[in-house]
Amino acid sequence: MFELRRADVITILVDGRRLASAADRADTMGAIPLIIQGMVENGAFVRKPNVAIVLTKGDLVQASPKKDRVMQDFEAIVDGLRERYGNIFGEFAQFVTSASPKDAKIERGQGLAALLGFWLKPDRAPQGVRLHCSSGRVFDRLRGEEADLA
Amino acid sequence: LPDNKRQVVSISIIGLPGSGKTTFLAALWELVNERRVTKVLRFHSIGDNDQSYLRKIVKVWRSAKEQARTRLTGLKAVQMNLHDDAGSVVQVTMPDAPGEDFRTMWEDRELGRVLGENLATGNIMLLLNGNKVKAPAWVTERVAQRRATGAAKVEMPPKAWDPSMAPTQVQLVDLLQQISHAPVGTGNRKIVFMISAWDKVEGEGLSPNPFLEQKLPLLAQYLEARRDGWTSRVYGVSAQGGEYDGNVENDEPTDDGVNAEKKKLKAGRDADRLREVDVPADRIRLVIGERRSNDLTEPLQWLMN
Repeated sequence: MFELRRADVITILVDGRRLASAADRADTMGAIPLIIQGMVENGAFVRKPNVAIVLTKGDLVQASPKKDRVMQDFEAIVDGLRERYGNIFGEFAQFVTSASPKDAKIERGQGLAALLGFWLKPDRAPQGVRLHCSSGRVFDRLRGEEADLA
Repeated sequence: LPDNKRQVVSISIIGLPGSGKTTFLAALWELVNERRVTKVLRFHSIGDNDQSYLRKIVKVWRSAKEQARTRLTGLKAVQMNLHDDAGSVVQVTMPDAPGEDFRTMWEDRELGRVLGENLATGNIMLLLNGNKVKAPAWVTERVAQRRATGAAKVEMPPKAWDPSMAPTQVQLVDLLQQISHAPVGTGNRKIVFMISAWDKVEGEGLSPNPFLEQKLPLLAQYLEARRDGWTSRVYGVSAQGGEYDGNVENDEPTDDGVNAEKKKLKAGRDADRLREVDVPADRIRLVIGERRSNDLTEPLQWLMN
């Protein structure tokens, strides 16, 4: 889990194929918040990382007769995460990607540039925590000007 | 959450095989986690609860498929940390026991230690499949029916009586009597009757209480007499909201694959419609009196208070 604790950006992949499948869509929508909840309860995101929520296999979604419903379900997932974990994460962003489309007419890697841009976005200033400890010893007096620990 | 801030409540879910206990639990888990649906109790945290079983059954529920029979998986502990509007947190424990264990209590007068401990205290939720309830039949009516249709009289060899032939309501009343007295449990408890598969029986035009009185009169009178001090409520519930697909896992294996073929044919009439519902928790239907909702946590809260 230490990778999560150190991460600047968390990327949540939502499988577009499963979201377009009648049998799997409800489970895809319902499973994600509980996976995040488990990580939150274990202190994985204390650094308040940014979060990218990515709908993958965008080519399959576009070809699906239910593409409007898939996008609506994806929006519901994003809204739900934003509402539930808005104070846990930093910035939220959503993307649709087609990393390896089966249809040659669709650009390979569509949507990935925007995702990479989000990953590389300069991080906000780290929130350092200034500790004021007093042990009651003479050493405490040696602290002169307060150093900026941030 | 520290233990002193958390209320712990144990509710026993009982019912004969196929009464819908596991489907109810799966629907409840879906509901408490669904932020878009109003309810009195909501998901609070995972905490130290093992939710792998809930995860497994809710996945089946979401795909509108029949649950695997609990007989094959044994008793499963189910714990949920929920909270209400006032912020009070409650850990609800609801073990999911195979219906066969309750049938064994009637047929063989036997009860396992773990299930016995679960039934000893706490309030009860009893599920019964409304679609399996048959109205009492009279021999004279059957004879008149045969004569009217001109069907030939068929001589059947007498069959020895077996406890498994007892009507559902006889088995349930005995079950409730057993858990109301020592050595199994105590009386003066609350009980919720959940008449499951309500979508199948609502066509009769009865609300849940009259349904119980007309179709299960012995059980209704046992409750009314309050011999064992039960305080009861009766709900109709359709935890899937319609007829869903069968589950091949529940088939007994055969060499010729006949059962697998049969199950393929058993596609639920409403399964496709259920899978298309925008908010899956909206499939759930709960009826009390004339009132309808999908809040399965309401009976739970009544049992807790």
